[in-house]
Amino acid sequence: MVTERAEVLPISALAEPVEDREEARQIALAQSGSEAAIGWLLARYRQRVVRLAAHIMRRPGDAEDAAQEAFVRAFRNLNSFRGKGKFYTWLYQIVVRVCLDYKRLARWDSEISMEAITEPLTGSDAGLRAVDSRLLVEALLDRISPPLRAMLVLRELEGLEYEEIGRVMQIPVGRVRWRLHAARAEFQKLLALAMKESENV
Amino acid sequence: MSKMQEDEISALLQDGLRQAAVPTPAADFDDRVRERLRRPEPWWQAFVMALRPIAAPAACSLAVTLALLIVMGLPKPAGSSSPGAQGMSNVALEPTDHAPSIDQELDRLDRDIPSLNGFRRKQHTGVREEDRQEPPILHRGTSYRRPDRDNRV
Repeated sequence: MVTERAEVLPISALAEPVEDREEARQIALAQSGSEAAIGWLLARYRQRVVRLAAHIMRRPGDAEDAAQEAFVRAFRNLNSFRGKGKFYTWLYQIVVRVCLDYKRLARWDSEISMEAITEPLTGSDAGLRAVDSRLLVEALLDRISPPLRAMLVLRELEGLEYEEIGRVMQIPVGRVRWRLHAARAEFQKLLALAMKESENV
Repeated sequence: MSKMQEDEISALLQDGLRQAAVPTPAADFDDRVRERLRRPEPWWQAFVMALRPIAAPAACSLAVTLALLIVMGLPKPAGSSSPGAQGMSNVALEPTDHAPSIDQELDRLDRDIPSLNGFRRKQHTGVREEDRQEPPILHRGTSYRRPDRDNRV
């Protein structure tokens, strides 16, 4: 599998009214079994769904399988989408559920040593430090539980509103705010710990 | 965590996530999805999916019901119906040799009180011969049933 830095706009950037109308038309066609409409939806969301799965699962190898499973479940249950909310919140809800359910995620563990995280911080060159900070963020995200990580990704990367995250995660908005706050606090704590460890090195 | 710190963390996370390497879907991604869609869904998978929304509430409800049944169905240990009764049973554990003498003393005190004299007279006139027998000494923490209740139908 090829892994690269892909420039994909956040999902919030898709919310153009014209595109929404076209999307509604394609969804209606897909609900009636149109293969072309399914292809249109796949082309529109494929990259985003794989990226979301990759960030939640933190295993690039499994992300594509999970994304495929999510698409299959979504298309099989497309008639249950009534068009009340955004299609992507409905789709993301399935993606997040598949990722969190994915049996291989059971192997997830937070026992990553702090030395492994602080290792990237030891570089001195500016360019290297930029790469290091990316690696650091990724390494710290590895230590956050998958549900909290999913919320962070939905908020910080996809730019979803609290209400939309609530719909995706199927929790009230108040709990979204609280959990995001907890996730950021956890991230900050881990970051401080990593910085302290790197100073000792 | 202050608002500023939260914003800084958000900015760091956004940068890190945007720069993170993500897998590019394989060229045959769409074909594999279509192929799976053409295959009929296994009946058990559809069953599990249909059952899923009610599975968790049903499991919780079952657990609560079982817990209630266990708690309510257990026979109560003798003399432990309430904290008060428990305290009384603790009193009953004490030696009771002196209990009759306390009762007699209390009766004597009652008889000595002039305002209770009327009750004493009623007791003498209104009590039937068969009821005149001494009631069993009722210790604290022991259950006592009136003898006449046993004869009721």
